Order: sequence, then structure tokens, then C-alpha cells
Amino acid sequence: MPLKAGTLHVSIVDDDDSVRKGLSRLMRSAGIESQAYESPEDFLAEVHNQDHACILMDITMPRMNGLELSARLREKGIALPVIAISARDDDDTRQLARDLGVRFFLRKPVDDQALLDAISWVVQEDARP
Amino acid sequence: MSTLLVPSLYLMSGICAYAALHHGLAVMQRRVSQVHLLFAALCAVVMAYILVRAGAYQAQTVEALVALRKWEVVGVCFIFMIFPWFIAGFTGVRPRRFLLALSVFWFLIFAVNLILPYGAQFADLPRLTYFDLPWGERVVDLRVFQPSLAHKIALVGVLAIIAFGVHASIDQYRRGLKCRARSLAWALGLFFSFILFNWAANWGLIDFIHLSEFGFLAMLVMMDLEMMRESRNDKRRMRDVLDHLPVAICLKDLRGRFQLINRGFETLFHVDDGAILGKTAFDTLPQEQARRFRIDEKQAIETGKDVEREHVLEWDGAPRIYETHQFPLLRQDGTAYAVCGVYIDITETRQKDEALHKFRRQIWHTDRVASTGAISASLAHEICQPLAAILNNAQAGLRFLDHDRVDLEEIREIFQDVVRDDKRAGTIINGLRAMLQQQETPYADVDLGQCIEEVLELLHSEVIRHGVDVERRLETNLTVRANKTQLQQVILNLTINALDAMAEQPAGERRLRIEVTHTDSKAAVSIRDTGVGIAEDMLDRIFEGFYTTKPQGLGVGLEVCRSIMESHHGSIRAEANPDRGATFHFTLPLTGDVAAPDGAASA
Repeated sequence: MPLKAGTLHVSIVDDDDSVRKGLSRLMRSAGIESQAYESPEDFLAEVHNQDHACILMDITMPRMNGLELSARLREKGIALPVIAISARDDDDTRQLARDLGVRFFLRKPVDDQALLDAISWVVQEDARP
Repeated sequence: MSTLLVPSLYLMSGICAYAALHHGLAVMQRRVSQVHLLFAALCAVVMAYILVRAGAYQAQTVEALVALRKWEVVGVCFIFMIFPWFIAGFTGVRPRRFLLALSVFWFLIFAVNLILPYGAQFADLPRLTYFDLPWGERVVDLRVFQPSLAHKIALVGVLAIIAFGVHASIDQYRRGLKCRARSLAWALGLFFSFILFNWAANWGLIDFIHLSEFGFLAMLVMMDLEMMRESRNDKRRMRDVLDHLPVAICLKDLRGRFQLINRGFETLFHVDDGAILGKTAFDTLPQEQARRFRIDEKQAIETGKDVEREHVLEWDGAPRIYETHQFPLLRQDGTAYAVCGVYIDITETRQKDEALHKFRRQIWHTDRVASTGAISASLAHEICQPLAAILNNAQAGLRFLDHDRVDLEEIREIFQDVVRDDKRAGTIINGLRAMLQQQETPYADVDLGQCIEEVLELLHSEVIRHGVDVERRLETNLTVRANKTQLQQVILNLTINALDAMAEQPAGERRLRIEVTHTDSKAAVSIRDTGVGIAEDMLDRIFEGFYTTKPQGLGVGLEVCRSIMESHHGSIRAEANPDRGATFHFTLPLTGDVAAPDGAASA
């Protein structure tokens, strides 16, 4: 099912300037609204309405603790699905992904179609009752 | 009636005079050691003794006889005072207390002789008797039939001297100086036998005059012959040593004329000993070489010091490197009287040094590769980020181009971002390339602060992966003359070590501080961590080879850091922090200071 423009919001969390810019632009070119944050703290500091479809997060950021983060998300009542984007793919990173309960694990450099398909899948899953 | 004894006594005293003069002059010209002075004194005293005896043999009155015999005792006392010291000086056996006691003993005899009215030899006034020698000569009888107490006591002194002489002789024999021991033994033997003869004559066992004069002269002759033999031996030994030394040696006067050369010199410069003496280098060697040597010679004479220089000379048709020394030979007052030239072939040593140098560089390269490998995952991460951004930007761009209205500004921005990100990746690649390259970069002026920043950029991901906070205190505009790659290698090694040291610390407790300061002539860099630290007794040993705490470590990293610092005329040390962790300090001379680092001349 094609994504309906204007209704989708994703949150982008990545500590690298260029990556944030690139992802935001990609979202925009696909008609998806996005908000970019430099760190999980910045993300949690803002109030989010549930219109955001999902979170695109680089899970290899400094001081990244998956369990802690997922606990705080639950605390704040944020039930957004997380799509993990990672520059690394090793045991530690995979464990981190599991702790966070991510829906997808994508490796950088991320292909646009792969990413959009992942977002689409997540949205459809959530849309199902 | 023929006179034989007295003339022969005069002849003997003449010989003693000559010997005294000969050895005395030699000492004054400082050509020989002080032992010869003692020998000259001994000869002089023996000469005096012989003359006194000659006079006594011809004494006309009892008073004259008593006076002459007193003088005879004076002579004997001096002879026996000097003789032990001469033996001591000659052999090196110097029992000081014993020698002093002997000297005091003979001095006392001398004093007693002076005090007593008839001298030490006689208890009573002697009578003037005569003795007829076999050839018809009539002389005063100088035998002592009624020796005084002092005379008997003096015998003890004589025996003591002989005992000492024997002891010294045995000592020399044991030390391998067999000829000298033998000569000394002969001299003592002769002396002793003449003493015995005198006693036998005194006791009437033998009906003849004393032979002490002959005894003393025989001793002197033996010792003189021995000293001459040793001198000849020394000369020959020195010559042999010179000729067998594996270096070329020459001696020249102040005008550069050859006075002496050894075999090594003959073969090196293809000259002949006989043909070259008295000529200068300009007459016998290639002009250019002679000119260069002359410059060194002149400098040596002027400064009074060794002039060391390297020259390339030909040997068997091939050029070889020689370390040459020209040094002046100085007189007592400091003026030069000759110049000595020494030429040592160091070609092989130099080759070994260069091979070692090359090997060391290879080790450094291996260490660089190893360090780079250790952070390769982080380097990949650093390159991955800009590539991810480029991919997203480019694919976004393609999507934009499919829209109805294409915003060309957006497209332009995309391209600009792609260029920027690509260059960012390029920096990492360049840093990697610099670390991995094998060939030597030349020494250049390096901005220390910038140098450190570049390394930190390479380590960006690694620092994040270790969860470490980095604090920088970098002074700007500090330039050092260095090989940039090697300098960065040191910083890289030290920083990686610091990161590893903090691995076990709780998050938030991992802090790295890099600080650059400077004094007048040196720049100082310190890298401080809050890790496990280093034990006090290990602070020096960690820089020795093969120390590591890492299971997969080679243990050469810090050793390489030290050798790199040394070749830059810098230094490195470790310090245990008072609170936690360790700090590594290294210093480098600032540019514009002192000599260039090793190998800078041959880039």
C-alpha cells in the first residue's frame, strides 16, 4: 500500500549531522514529515503526539543503553516502534537492538527503498487492530 | 812496583760518573721515568765511595785514614738508603713502612758514625797497617779485624736489604717479568757474595783486600744492563703493537713531515716507510687528501684537542669510510711538538648501523599497521557515516527529480552536501594512508596542535565506542620539526592505550585529557587517563620491549614511541596520577632550536 503523504511523521535520532540531514531529505523526497534529534535525551525532552509513525534511530550512538531507553519510552507512554539503523553489526549491537525491541535492523548505508518499505510495513502492522 | 788497584778504582769511579750523568740527563730531558733519577743518585754515591776508598788505600797518616774511613761509612749509608728505594721504584714492590724503617736505620748508623770519634767501624783508634797485593802493589790495609758494635748492627741492615731484594725479585718472577727477576737476582747475588768475601777477609779466612767496590759496581752494571734491555724491549714491543694494530697511524712534526708510520698506514696509503719519512703528505699522497688532512692537523695543533672527522678513502679500488683522528702530542707546558693521525675503517660498522636503522624503521611501520588495524572497526564506522549520508542524499535527489516541480536549489544543496561528505570520508582515508605508508616522509615543520587534532579525528568513533570524554587543552601555533607520520603514530599509540586502560571503568568515569604546553625551547604533550594506572616500579620498564597487558598485544608500542621520540631528540615518560590512572608526557624541541633530528640530513 503506498504511503499517504502528509499523514506520516517519523522521528530521526542520530548524532551525525550529515546523516540526519540526509535522512530528513530522503523522508521529505518521499513525502514523509520528519523531525531530527541529535540524541535520545533530546528526543525524550520533547512532547510527542502519537502521530509519529516510528522512530529511526542510530543505535550506535555514545552512551546508548537500549534497555534504559526502552524503559523510559514506556514510562513516557511512547509506544512508537523503532527502526534501528546501524553503522556497526556485531554481537553487542545486535543485543542492543534486542534490548530496545526494534522492529527492523538496517545497516548503513541504508538503501532508500529498503527504508521506506520498512516504514510502510511498520505503519501497516500498527494500523491493524 | 806496579799500581793496578788504585788506577782501576779511578777507572771504576769514572764509569759510575758516566752512568750517573747518562741517567741523570735522561731524566732531566723527561724522556724516562723517575726511577732513573734514583739510579743516577746511586751511581753518584757509589762513585764517591770508590774515590774515598782509593784515597783510603793511599792514606799517609792515621788521622787521614780515620777521616777517610768515616767518609766511607757515609757513602755506604747513602748507598744502602737509596738502593732499596731504587728496587722499589724499579719493581713496583713498595712496602712503605719497611722502606722507611730501613732508611731510618741507615740514617741512625750515619748519625752514630758522625758522633763516634773513630767512626762506626772502629771501636778503637786503628793502626796504619799495610797489605801487599800479589802484583807487588802496597796499599793501606782496610780490613776491619775488630768491628765495632755499630758495624755488627749494620750487618742486620744489609741482610734486610738483601731479603727485600729477593722478595722483590720473586714478585717480579711471579708476575711474568722473568728477565728482570733474573737480573735483580744476579745483582743481589753478586752483592751478597762480595759481602761474604769481605766478612771472610775480615775474619782472616781469606787473605785478601775487600772487594766491596767491585761488588757495588757489578750491581750497578747489572741493573744498568737490565734497564737498557727493557728499554729496547719496550721499543720493540711498541713497534710490534703499532704495526699489528688494525688501524693506520702516523706521526708528523708541526710542519707536517712524517716522523713515524705503522704498517697499517703503509698498506692503506701505498707508501713505503723508508721513502716517506721526512716528507710531507703533499709529497706522497693525492693533493686533495693531503690538503684535507693538513686542515685537520692545523686545527689539532691550534686547539690542542683531538679533531675527529670522517673521510672517504679508496681501498682496493673501492671507497671506504674512515673515521680519522688528528691529535697533538703535548709537552709539559701544553705546547704541541707533534701531531698523531689515526685512521680507522668504519665502513662495516656504518653499514651495520644503517641496516639497524632500516630495521628499526620497519618495526615502526609494523607498529603503525598494527595500531591502525586495532582501530580499523572505528575507521570503517567513520567512513560509513558520510557514505550513508551521501546515499540518502543522492537517492533523495533522484526522487525529487521525479516530482512535478523540481526545486533546483534543493538539488544544488544536495550536491554540495555530497561533496562535503565525500571530502570528510577522504580525510579519514588520507589519515589511514599516512599511517600505513612505508616510505620515509621527510622531516618538516609540524603544527603540534593540528597534528593532535588529526589523530583525534581518526579516533573519533573509537573514543565514542569506549564511551570516553575527551578534554583538549591545545596551545596553538607550536611548531616542531618532526616526521609527521611518526609523531602521529606516537599520539595514536598513547591514546589507544589510554582508551583501553579505561575500559573497565564505569561509564561517566572515563576521561581523557590531552594537553599541550611549552617552555622556552621545548613543547610538552601530556595524555592523561582515568584508567587502571601503572605500578610505580613499572613506570620505566613499560618502555622496554615486549611489555603488554593486552592478551593479543605485541608489546612493542611503547618501545616504538620511545625510539621515535629519541630519534626526534625528544623524550617520553610515564607518571602515575595521584587520583586514578596514568599520564604520559613527551617533549620535543621547538623549531628553530638546536640540531635537526636524526636522519634529517639524508631525507
